[in-house]
Amino acid sequence: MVIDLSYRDAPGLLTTHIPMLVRAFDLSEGDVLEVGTGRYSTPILNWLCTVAKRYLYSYESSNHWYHKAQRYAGTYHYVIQASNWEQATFDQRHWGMAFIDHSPDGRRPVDIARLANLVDYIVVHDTEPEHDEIYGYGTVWDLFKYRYDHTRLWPNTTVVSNFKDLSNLG
Amino acid sequence: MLSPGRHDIAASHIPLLVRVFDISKGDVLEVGTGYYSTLILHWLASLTERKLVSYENHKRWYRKAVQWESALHQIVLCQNWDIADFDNQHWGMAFVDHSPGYRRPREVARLANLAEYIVIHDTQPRIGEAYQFSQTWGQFKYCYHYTKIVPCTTVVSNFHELLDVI
Repeated sequence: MVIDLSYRDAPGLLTTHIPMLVRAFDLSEGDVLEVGTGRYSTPILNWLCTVAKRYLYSYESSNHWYHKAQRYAGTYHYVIQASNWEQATFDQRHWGMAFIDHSPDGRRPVDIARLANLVDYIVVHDTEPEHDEIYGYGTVWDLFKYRYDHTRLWPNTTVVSNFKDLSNLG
Repeated sequence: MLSPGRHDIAASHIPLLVRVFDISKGDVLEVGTGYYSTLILHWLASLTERKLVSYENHKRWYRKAVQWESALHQIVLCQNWDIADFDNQHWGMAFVDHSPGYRRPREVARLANLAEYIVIHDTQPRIGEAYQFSQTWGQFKYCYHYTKIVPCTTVVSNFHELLDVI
């Protein structure tokens, strides 16, 4: 496992997904998909997958973030550069959980829709209603049987599923 | 600075630690610092503007931890656990993962009626026997052993039923 001690600044808005990210990881089984890497989600998922011996696949479109994330690649962690989200092949199989936090913002609902029937738990960051114009999540929630909005922290995080009833997330 | 982690098993408390942080309120106590717990508690406490106090008795680990010190995160070098003064206040949650291991049941007992949730690392029976946790569980109304990832982690409380952590 790798620990990057450079992330010393106040974490601010980037870490509000941590409670739901870790909870969904804990409740799920099987391989983990990360669509868009991040300062906090990538190391945390790396640590969890390594200790739990689950495989993590992180997709990243930005060169800058890809090279940062590549440092975490290891036995249980594959880091994949996706120069074009449309051609990223993460929609060819089933996943235990997925974390959606990539750019451009408008891609998020597109990729959530691709994964709707392939992932037990999909964790989506930045789901506060006031920013729906930016992300356009409102178009995808109806694709799911179950939804839980974690609003204790802002920006909000939402978990959706067509497989699990999510009653134990709150 | 990147450094290779050689203690992968040290991260096994993360699911329960983060869950308890999320459902608790108020000040957070860390008894014994660590790569993963100190970092994650620092991030979460900073984000939610909750006070975090970390106690450490090893100078080497104290020097690592002290770089995280901030207005919300106090790091205390504690040379003698018996005189550590964390049992003078009420805590929203406490994380107990210090050394020597045989001290853990003692600190848990001191906090039994002061911390709403106490998360304890390394509680699987084999180590638990060495750490002498057998006397610990009876001091609490509620106890949940998290065994999905080894080393195991336990949360105990005299205030909350723990239904939310399962």
